[in-house]
Amino acid sequence: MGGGEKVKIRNIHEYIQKLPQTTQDRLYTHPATCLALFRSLTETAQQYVMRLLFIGQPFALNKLTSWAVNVREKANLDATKQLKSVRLWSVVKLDNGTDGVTLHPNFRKGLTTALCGGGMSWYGNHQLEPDKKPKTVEFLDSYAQERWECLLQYMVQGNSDSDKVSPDIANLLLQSGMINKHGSEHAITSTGFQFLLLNTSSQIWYFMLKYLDKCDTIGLNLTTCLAFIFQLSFSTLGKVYPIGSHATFVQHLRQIGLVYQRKHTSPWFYPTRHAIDFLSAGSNKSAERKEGFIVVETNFRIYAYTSNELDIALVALFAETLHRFEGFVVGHITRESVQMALQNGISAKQILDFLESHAHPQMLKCKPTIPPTITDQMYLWEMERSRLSTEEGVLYSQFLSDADFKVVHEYAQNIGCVQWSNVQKRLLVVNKKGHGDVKKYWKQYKKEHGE
Amino acid sequence: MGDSVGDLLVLVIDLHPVWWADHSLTGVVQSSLVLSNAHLLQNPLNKLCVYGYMNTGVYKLYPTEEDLVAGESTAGKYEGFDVVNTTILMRLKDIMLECRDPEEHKQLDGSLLSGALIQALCHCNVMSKNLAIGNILNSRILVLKGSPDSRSQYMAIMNSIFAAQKNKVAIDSCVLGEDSTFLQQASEITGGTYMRVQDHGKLAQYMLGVFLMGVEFRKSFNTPPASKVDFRAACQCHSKMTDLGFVCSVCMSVYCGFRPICMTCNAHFKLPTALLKGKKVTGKRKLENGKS
Repeated sequence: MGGGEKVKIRNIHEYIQKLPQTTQDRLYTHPATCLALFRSLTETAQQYVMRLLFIGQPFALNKLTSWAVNVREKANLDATKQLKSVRLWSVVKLDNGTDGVTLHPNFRKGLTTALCGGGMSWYGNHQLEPDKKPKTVEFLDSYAQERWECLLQYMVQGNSDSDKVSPDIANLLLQSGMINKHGSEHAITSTGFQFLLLNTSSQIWYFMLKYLDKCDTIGLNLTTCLAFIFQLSFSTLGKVYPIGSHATFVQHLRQIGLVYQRKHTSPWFYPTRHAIDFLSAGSNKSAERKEGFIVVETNFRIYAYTSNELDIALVALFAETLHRFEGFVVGHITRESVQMALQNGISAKQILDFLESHAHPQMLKCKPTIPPTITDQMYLWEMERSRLSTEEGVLYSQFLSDADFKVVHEYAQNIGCVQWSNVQKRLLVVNKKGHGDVKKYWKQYKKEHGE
Repeated sequence: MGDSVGDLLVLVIDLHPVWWADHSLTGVVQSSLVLSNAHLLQNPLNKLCVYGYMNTGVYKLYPTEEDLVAGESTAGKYEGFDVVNTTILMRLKDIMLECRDPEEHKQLDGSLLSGALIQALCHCNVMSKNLAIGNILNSRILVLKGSPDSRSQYMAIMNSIFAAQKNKVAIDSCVLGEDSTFLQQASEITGGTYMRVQDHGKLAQYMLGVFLMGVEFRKSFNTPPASKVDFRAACQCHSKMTDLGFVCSVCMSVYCGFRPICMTCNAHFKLPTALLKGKKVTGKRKLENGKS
C-alpha cells in the first residue's frame, strides 16, 4: 500500500493561480468569484485590495509602501505575493516614469458590483413563480446530509452495484484515485481514507476540485462551473433559484446533495447548507460543528455513541472494535491498529483532528479535549515509522588498491555525496546525485594512472 | 481554545434632522453601507449591527426583529448584502417619516449619543455572552457623528466610555462636522481611532482605509495621527468645559464654582477659608488611565 499521496486541500486563491490567464480573466467577470477570491485572501491582502478598489487610476507604488508601518514585515510580503500570484496586483508605468499599482480591471469591476450593486443579476432575468410547497431548512439539511453520506458509504462499502451513487460520480471517485476497481468490486485507497477523515466542508471542496479537473472531459466549461459554484456559496438557504443554462452541472450537484431539485425537469433548485458552507473549508474558518459522539479515555478505550455505519467504519480505521451494541460501539486504540492506519497513509494529526471534531459534548468540557497521553502516544507511534529512512545510492566496491579507494573516497567527500564508507573493506556508497561525477572522475583517474 | 468567531462592528449613525438639513445624508448612508458590506465580506463570520440616533431617540436599524425579504431587483449585488442594505434603508425611511414634527426639531442640540453608545455596548455584551465557551468575539463601535456635542450628556458619555474600556470594546469615531471632544476622549481611552472627515464625498474611501481594519490589525498599518485631545471635563453645574474648578472630595464631581453641597452625592462642605482670601482650589478630574 505504501504511504500514498497526501491529501492536500488547496485554497481558492491557490486553485485560481494555477489556472491559465484567459480563464482567470473570464472568471473575474463574475462578481461571485471576486467575492470568494477576496474572502480567501489574507487580512493584509484584503486591506490592500479595499484601499485600491475605489481608486480609478494606477496608484504610485512608493506611496503605497507608506501604508504599512513596516513593508518588510512578513504579512506584507506574503500579501503582495498572494495578490501577484492571482494577478490582482499589476505594476504599470505612471506618466512620470515611476511604478504604479493597479488592480485587475475585471476584478475591480466585479467586486465593486458585488459591493455596491449595479450590472446584471447573478441568475439572469428569470422570473420565478413561488414554489407552492416550499421546502424547510430542516428538510434541506437532512437531504444534503443523506446524499453526502451515500457517497461516503459507497466508498467504504466496496460493492459497485449500489444504485445510490450515479455512474458519473462513481467514475469520478475512480479517476481521482479515491477508490480502486477490481472487477465489479472496488476498494478504498489511502487517498480515500484520508478523504474520509476530513470534515464535511473540506471533503466537498476537495471533491469539487477533483470534479473541476475533470469537467472538460464531460463537456462542461470550467469557468462557468466554477463561477456557478461560487455563486451557490453566496446564496441564501431556503430560497429558490432558477437553473438557467446550468442543467447538466446542477444534475451532478444534485447527485451529491449540494442542491435540491424536486424533479430533474424542474426549472429551479434550492441550494443546501453543504453548498453554502463548503467554501469556508479552504480558509479554515468553518464554524460548523455537528453534535459529536466520540469519547476517548486515557486507557485508550474509545466509545462511539452512534449507529451510523459510516461513522463506525471510520472509527474502525484506527481502532480495534471490541463490542457493538445498538447505537453504541466500544473500541480499543492499540499500537497495531494505529500502525495500520498510518500504513494506509493517514497521519496521526488527521486521526486526532477527527477525534477532536467529533468529540462528545461531555469530552468538550475537558481541556484539552483529547487526553494528552493519547495525543502524545499517537505522535510517538507515528514517529516510530520514521526511524528508518531510505535513500537511493550506488555502491562502489572491489577497489584493487588502497590508493585507488582513497582517491575516489576523497573526491566523493569533497563534493559531499558520501552516504557511507568502510575503509577496511574498501566499500563506498555514493548518493544518486553524485554518482555521475564520481563515475566520470574514476574513469578519468584510471585513464591517467592505470595500465 | 479561544477561537475567534469573527468581528462585530456596531455602526452608530447620527441622524439629527437639523444637522442633516444642511448636509447630504444619502452620500453618508451609502458610504456606511459600503463599509458594512466590506466588513461582512471579509469573513463569513463577521457580524454587523447598526444604530441611528437623534434628539428624540435611539433606533436600531439592523438587525431588526422581523427579517425583510430582499427586493427582487438584486442586480449584481450579493443578495446577502442586499438584505442588510434594504433593511437599513427601509428603517431609515420609517424613522425619517416619523420625525416630521417641526416643533420637536428646532435646535441643533441634544443628540442622544450617550443612549446610542450604551445600547451599542449592550448589544456587544449580549453577543459575547451568547457565544459558546472558549470563543472570542472582537467588538468595536464606529460612531459617525455630525451634530455638535451636547454638554449635558457629559456624565453619561464618560460612563459609557469607561464601560467600553472595561469590556475591551474600542470606540472609533468618524466626525463629519466640528471636532468632538467627547469622541476624541472616547477613542483615546478605548484604543480606537478618531478621524475628522470634512469632504463627505471621500468618506467611503476613508472608512474602507481606516475603519475596516480590526483594532489589533491596525498596528501594522499607518493610521491618521491622533490629533491633540482635549481632556477637559464638563462641570456638573453648568455643563461648561472647565480647566480649573472645584472637585468634590467624596465623589469626584467637578464644579466650575464653589458649592456648599455636592449635587451628586450630597456631601456637605465647609466654606473654605482659602477662598475667602481670594485663592482658588485647583483640581482636575483624573482619568482612569492616568492621563489628565
